[in-house]
Amino acid sequence: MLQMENISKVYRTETVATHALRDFNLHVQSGEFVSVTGPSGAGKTTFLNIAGLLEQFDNGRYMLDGISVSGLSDSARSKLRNEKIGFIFQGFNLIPDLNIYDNVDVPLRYRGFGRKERQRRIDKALEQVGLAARQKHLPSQLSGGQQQRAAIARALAGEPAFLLADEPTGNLDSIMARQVMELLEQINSQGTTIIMVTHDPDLAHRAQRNIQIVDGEVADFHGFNATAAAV
Amino acid sequence: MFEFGPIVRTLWRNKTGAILIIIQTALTLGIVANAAFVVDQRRQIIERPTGIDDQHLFSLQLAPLSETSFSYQDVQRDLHEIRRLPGVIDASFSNTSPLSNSGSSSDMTNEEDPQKPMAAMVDLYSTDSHGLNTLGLTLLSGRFLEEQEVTASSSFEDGSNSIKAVVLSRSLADKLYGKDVDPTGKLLNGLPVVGVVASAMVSYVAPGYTDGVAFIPRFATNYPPNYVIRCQPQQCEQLMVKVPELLEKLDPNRMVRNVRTMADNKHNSYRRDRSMVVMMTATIILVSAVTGLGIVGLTLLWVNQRRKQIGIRRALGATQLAIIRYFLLENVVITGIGIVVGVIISLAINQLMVQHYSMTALPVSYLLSGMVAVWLLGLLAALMPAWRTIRISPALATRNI
Repeated sequence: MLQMENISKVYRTETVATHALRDFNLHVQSGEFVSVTGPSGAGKTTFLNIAGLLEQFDNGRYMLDGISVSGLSDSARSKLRNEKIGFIFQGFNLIPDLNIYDNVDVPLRYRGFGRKERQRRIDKALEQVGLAARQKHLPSQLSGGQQQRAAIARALAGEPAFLLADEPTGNLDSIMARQVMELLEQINSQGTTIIMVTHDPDLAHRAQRNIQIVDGEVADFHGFNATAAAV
Repeated sequence: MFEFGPIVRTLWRNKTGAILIIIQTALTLGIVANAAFVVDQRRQIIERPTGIDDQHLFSLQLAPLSETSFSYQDVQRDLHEIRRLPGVIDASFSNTSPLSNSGSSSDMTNEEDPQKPMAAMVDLYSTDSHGLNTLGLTLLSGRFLEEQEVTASSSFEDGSNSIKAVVLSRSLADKLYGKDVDPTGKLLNGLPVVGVVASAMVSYVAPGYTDGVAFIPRFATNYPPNYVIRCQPQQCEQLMVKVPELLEKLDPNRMVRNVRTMADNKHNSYRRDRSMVVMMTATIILVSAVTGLGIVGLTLLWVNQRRKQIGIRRALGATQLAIIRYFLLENVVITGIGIVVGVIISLAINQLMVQHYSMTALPVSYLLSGMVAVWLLGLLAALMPAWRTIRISPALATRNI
């Protein structure tokens, strides 16, 4: 599903070069639920950005669902991102001026689906996260947990190959965090691959496998069940 | 692919900026369409053909140093000598400098049918038998004035009874006798009509001031005469020096003044029209610039306000082109609404101008051209700020800003 080999990324200013990732290697299989942890500044966000095709890397090889992403044009990366990846952000990142229905609709429009197909997928995704009755609400009219569920519905509607979650419970209280985590586990149990960046060790241990990043490298990995593997 | 629905709903929730641009766009269309119409009308007036050979004509006026009356024999002598100069095609006297927008005018009435008299405002242009060739007029029927028909009198009233012939321009004949009717041989206000020439502007260029020209063979002895000289190509400049020298030699007791080409006369006569063209053009440019800058400013503001949102959209799969398209479509929606309101304002402004300034109604073509121009203005103004969105990285979506 996701294979990174010797990925490196350096941020340069006129005076300083910061190695965000060095010879980073990771192999995530289809259907896995992988948590990524590490101290602040370790390179988690850079990993997430590169994995999600939001940022280019300097060296190495990255295969996403069998496609080498090196050298792809911006347009091709956008298309791949739209088709293969669902994003869940810490701050939900819903578009405040659009209601929940229109928010879920955003990636589907970029996909080029017709109106009926979009409606079918939106209804299904909102049903799945329990927000079918709130589709006409604006994000500001929902609680934090509901907003994150709406964001998950947006990520799921495109039926992506995997979900990238960036601190999905970071802005939620413990009850809502548990609900969102249960939802992610439920989604994973239906076959969707999930990579979740988190600071929370309890949440990290609920994943099948935990990758720890320190100074831009995979420092350790823990297999929480027998199906996980890391390179 | 196109996001009209979400764009309209988003604008509905953020009305203030959009409403300002809608009002600005509407006013721009109203002003631009009407101003363009005025500019075009004035340009048509300025550029319409005069019907005389204005590129090769100049005129001058004689002023006495002591005497207060002029002898027609002296005028005949002067013109005879002028015609002999190399480069002169012909020369004649006149009561005014052609195209100067000043002269004599009078009401004339065709009273052939007492039940239905036809009246017209007439440009009375005094000249001699050389007037036809000097002005470069085209004779349509009958004949032009003859030398022996010229009468010299101290005033029009004194001389009007002795005027032996009158030649009408076609536009005047149309007004007095009907379209294409030949009035040759008829009497007009007691004057025998001897011919018709093609329509031309002679004394006046102000549109609608007169209905046409009546050429009469009358020399006013109490009024400084004008000489009109037709030159061969590229000869006018030299002749404008030589002719005054010649006239001074022939009689030093007079002054030659107002030596002007017809281009000078036209330039002066159309001064107000040209000022109006400049003023209206400046208005169009200014209003368009203000609106364009307003759209640039608002789109820039929206782009900056929505940097995070653009990053999110990019993360969700929007291409750079899709983001640019979003902002341009948003602009199309706003200017589209502005244009609809603008059409109503244009028609209202025009109605006011028709009522209070006797203008003609705004043709639909100006409205359509104005709509296209304002729409393009909006698109162009939004293009630069929209283009800046390509610099926004999708990685912005994962930053907590």
